[in-house]
Amino acid sequence: MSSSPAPAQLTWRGVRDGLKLAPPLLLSSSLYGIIFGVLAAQAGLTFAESGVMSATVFAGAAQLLIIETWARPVPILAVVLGLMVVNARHLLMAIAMRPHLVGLPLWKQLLASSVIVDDNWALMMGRFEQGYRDAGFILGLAMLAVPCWTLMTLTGHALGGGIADPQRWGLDFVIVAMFIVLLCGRWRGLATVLPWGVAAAVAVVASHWLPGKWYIIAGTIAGSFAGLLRADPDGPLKAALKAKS
Amino acid sequence: MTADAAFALAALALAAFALRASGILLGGLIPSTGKAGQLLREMPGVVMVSLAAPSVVNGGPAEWLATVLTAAVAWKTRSLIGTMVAGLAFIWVLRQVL
Repeated sequence: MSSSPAPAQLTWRGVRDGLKLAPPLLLSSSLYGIIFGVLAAQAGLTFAESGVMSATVFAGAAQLLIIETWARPVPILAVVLGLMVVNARHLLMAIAMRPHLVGLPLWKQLLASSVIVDDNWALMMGRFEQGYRDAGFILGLAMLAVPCWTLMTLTGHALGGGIADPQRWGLDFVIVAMFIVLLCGRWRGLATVLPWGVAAAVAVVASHWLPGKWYIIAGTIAGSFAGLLRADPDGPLKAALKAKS
Repeated sequence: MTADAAFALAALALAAFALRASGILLGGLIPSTGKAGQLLREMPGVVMVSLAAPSVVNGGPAEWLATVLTAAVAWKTRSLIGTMVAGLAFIWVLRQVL
């Protein structure tokens, strides 16, 4: 980002690149989709309601919270607030992605951001930081995930119950493994210890004290600011060290 | 579908989109240089750490050991798919054993 990058793109070629990497993400979204469908049925959502929600909201954790508060008549303010709380991280994710989209028409920037979830955003950011410029990639990742998530929600709703919990199959750990490999690519030695350590510590503590997924926001804010305590690794300090050696 | 449910679903769809879109629309107000830029560059890594750390730390010995093994595979291979498959295998076995 410090060197002048190639212009941002959003092409079918990028979409195809995304489609190629989509299968492992489909595995976990399918299983969670079924579980969400089962729970939605138990919470009293109709077949159509749960399908429409999965297709338009496309956010697993938020949807689980929403069905917890679902009632008749639907408490609209409560469900919308629940969604905002759990999905507040999408705002930060879109802010971080925006510099890589600048130059694209606004509708293309909004299209790319509209499909953000934890896993596809992390993969997209990894690509961008290696100099890849095509935002079609995140659309390719989401293109199968959205229909898959929706179909599996409906399947789960139709099944109604008796599905094993995902932890038993270790599928909850697949996303952790994905973050580990992406973080390996972002490791910059000692420079990363402070922000990442602070983020991890704050997120873990906050996960016990804050509701929903607020721990992600807490960890992110604390970790980012901790990173400011040292000079910019790409800034004057690094230049000074280079000049010395 | 009742009117209140339809209205709630429409509001949810709009809110979900608005959160994602407002990062794009408001992000331009944040300068990409200086301290703010550094904050922005730090963010993706710390978001990932904040997402993953509680699942690992709040787990048990199986999660801790699987994380160490998965990190070793990730560091050695740098393969996304390979690491995800290895992580799945590690956690599956360790949760049976531990």
